Amino acid sequence: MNAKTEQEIQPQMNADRRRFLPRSLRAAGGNNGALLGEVPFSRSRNPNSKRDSFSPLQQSLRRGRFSVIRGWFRLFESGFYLRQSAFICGFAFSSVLLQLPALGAEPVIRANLSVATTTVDQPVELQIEIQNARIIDPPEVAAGHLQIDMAGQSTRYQVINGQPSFSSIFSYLVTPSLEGTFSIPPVAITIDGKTYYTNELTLQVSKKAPNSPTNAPDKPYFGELVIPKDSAFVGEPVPVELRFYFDRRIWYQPYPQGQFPIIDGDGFVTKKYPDPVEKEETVNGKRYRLLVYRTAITGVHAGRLELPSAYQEFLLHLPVTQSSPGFDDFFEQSPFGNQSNAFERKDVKVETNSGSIEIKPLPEAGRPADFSGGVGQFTMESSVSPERSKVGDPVIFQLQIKGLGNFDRVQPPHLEAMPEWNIHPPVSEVTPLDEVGLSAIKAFAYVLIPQAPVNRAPSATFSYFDPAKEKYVTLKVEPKPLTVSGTPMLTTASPPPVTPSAEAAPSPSVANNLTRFSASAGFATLRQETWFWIVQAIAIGGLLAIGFFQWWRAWDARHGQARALRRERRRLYRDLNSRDDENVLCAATRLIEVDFLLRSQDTSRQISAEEAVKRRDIPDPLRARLLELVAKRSDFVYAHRFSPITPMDRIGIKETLREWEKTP
Amino acid sequence: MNWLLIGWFVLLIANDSKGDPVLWTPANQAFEAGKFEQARADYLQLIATGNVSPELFYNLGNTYLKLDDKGRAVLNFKRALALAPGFEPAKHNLNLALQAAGVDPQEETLMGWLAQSPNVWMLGGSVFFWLLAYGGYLWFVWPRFRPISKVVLAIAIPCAVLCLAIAFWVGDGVRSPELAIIINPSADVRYGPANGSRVTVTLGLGESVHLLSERGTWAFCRTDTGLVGWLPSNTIERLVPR
Repeated sequence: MNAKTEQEIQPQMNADRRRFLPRSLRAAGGNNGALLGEVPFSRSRNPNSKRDSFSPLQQSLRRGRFSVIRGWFRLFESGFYLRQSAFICGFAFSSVLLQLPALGAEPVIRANLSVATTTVDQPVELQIEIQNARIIDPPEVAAGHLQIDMAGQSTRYQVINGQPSFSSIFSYLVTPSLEGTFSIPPVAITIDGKTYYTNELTLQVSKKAPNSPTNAPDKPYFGELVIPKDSAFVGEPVPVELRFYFDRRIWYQPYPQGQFPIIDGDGFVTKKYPDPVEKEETVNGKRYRLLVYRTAITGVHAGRLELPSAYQEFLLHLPVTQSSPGFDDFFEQSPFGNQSNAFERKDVKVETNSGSIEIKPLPEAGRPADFSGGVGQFTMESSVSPERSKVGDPVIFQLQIKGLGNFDRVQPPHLEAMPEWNIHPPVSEVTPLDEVGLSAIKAFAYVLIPQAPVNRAPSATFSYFDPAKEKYVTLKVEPKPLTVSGTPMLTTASPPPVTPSAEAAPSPSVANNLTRFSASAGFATLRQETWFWIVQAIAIGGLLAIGFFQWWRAWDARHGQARALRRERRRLYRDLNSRDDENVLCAATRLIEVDFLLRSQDTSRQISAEEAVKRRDIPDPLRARLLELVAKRSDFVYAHRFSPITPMDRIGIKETLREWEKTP
Repeated sequence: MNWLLIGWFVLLIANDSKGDPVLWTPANQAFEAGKFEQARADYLQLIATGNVSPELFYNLGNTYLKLDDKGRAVLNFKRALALAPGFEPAKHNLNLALQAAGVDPQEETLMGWLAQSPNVWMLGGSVFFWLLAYGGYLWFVWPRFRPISKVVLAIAIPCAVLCLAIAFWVGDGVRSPELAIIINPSADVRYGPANGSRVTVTLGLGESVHLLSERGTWAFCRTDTGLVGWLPSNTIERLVPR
């Protein structure tokens, strides 16, 4: 092997010019011999050196060793490469297959700026995303007073819910050189012979931030509040940046994770923070890693708005250093100095500088009646669909307000009142065009119901305050032509129901409120009224009373005679104690009759005492005594043969009658 | 019965003698002056203090129309008609409000017509039932009155059956406390009380539902077609104010 060849096949060396050679081979002879360790390097470096560019096994084969298996090895080797190639081809083919549906879809082109506002010489990122199409050459982008440089290109393939999509993303750095509002015109992109355009973008450039600190403090980490303006109007959003600088060797993380910076104070509102951006920047000759939070503040009162320092807590991993005398650098900046591999965890609160901004009131002069608080620069466009309709079929009338400003205060534009249209309140949707949302499109979709044939949509006006021109601006969109056919829904030319001019109509209008007030019993149903149930109770009571009366009469008819006999019997017993003997005898005789009648259950018939005594089955002595009593009374009444009744006779009469009653 | 009628008459006179409620005139004046928010607040306060009248709900409906709240305008015109089914101005403005909301006025059904006056059927059923009861009593108890009771029974039996059947069918009708009206331009009736739940049917402004139960901000309802489902409580309002 000659010297030239040996020089050509030298292996790679490391920093101290030691070869990557295994210890065993180095000991065995170093730079010649089998050269087993050198082959991989030489193969790539000298493709012409055929002999030395193959593996030892191959060399052996070439030299005729293992000639028996030589053919088999070549077969195996060719098979290995074949499988590798097939795998690569298959992967590529499947990738293409997966992309086919995405590439077949209609291309979608978007352009956006990372922020809509910046300061002079402060670059912002412009991204053009082309979806569902493959573009190789970056689109040409140019705009006056803006330096636009290509920053990179990437592709993205994603499958969402089984739907593949393919995107090409071109990034540009846009650096403004002047203060003002600049527009980036639509960029033409040709795909398959068809030209598409991006949306127009607006970039607002202000002069360099007056509130930013001129010199960074000599610290390993610090914060900075950047306010690009020193004055704004009430309601005008002012973009601000909160920058947190960290030495390159510090590992940092917002703590707690996901926490956003806090700006204390009142008299202003802040927008929601987007995710922070990380950058690298040199400050005072030192490289820092930078975490930038972007937001916007909006002053709500006129006057000087003082912004105290904002703060954010971070969890830091600081390198532990052994300080050497004479060095005041924080981490002993020498890369191979006294720095150890140890890190210290530290929870720190990083504060920014404070700032202030003058908030000016909105002028009263020239304020339009329909001004609703929108401050910024806006444009308005309208569309209507469908363009042919019938009376009663809804038509969607969309108004798009686009630009830069406080979209949360942008209210629906004022539509021209037309009796042919019944206008429903709109629904709105905001599409932000930058990450803070200062540049956006707010779309208002009105549902219009045609009440009669008409050939145009209503016109619309929108008023806002332009802080750059410092005056109110009223935008107007001209009526869009369309065709509505059919017969009118309203037979008379009466206005919409809310307009008070239908007095001529024979029927009452909504404008005429009634002045009489007729008190009503309310919504209670009869079932809930007490009086209803009282009336029902009276009706039931009446029916029951009549029934009771009828029953009582029947009962009385059935039991009245017996009651009278019982009453008479009580009276006759009292008469037995009378001093008049005739009364005693008459009472005793009648008692015999009454008792017989009560026992017989037939109180209506008449019977004499003698007959009663004879009919009843009683002992003979008792019957004899009773008949004697009856005869005595007959003698007394009819024959006037009087025999005085002694007290013993009275007792005897009572005893006889008691026996008569007790006899079953 | 005569004494009852006299008492009722005296009560009517006493009611009339009370005059208009305190806020009635200021509310009407606020409406005339175009201060619709003020008028609405006054009318609502009148209702809250227990003053109800067809005119009050009619005026409140007009006020809501002026404030472009067509759902509540329809609701209040329907309330006026529930109190006075023949109230022509309320009928007229209800149709106007529905038309303004893009809703076709619903055709009146037999059930709807019967349900407008539930008290009439209940009262009629009650009166004829008692005529039937007393006539039958006469028939059985005093045979000498049978010619009269025969006439009474011939009238009372069919009328009582008809009125009580209708009263049972319509229930409380438009005065039912469970009856509610859709006040949004549209409302989705869902299978469950969640926004993600499947939609059974979509109801339009002014359509009525029967509330079966309530859970949080959702109400379980039965529609007029018999479908049941859940509606957000803020899309409906009861016809009978609470």
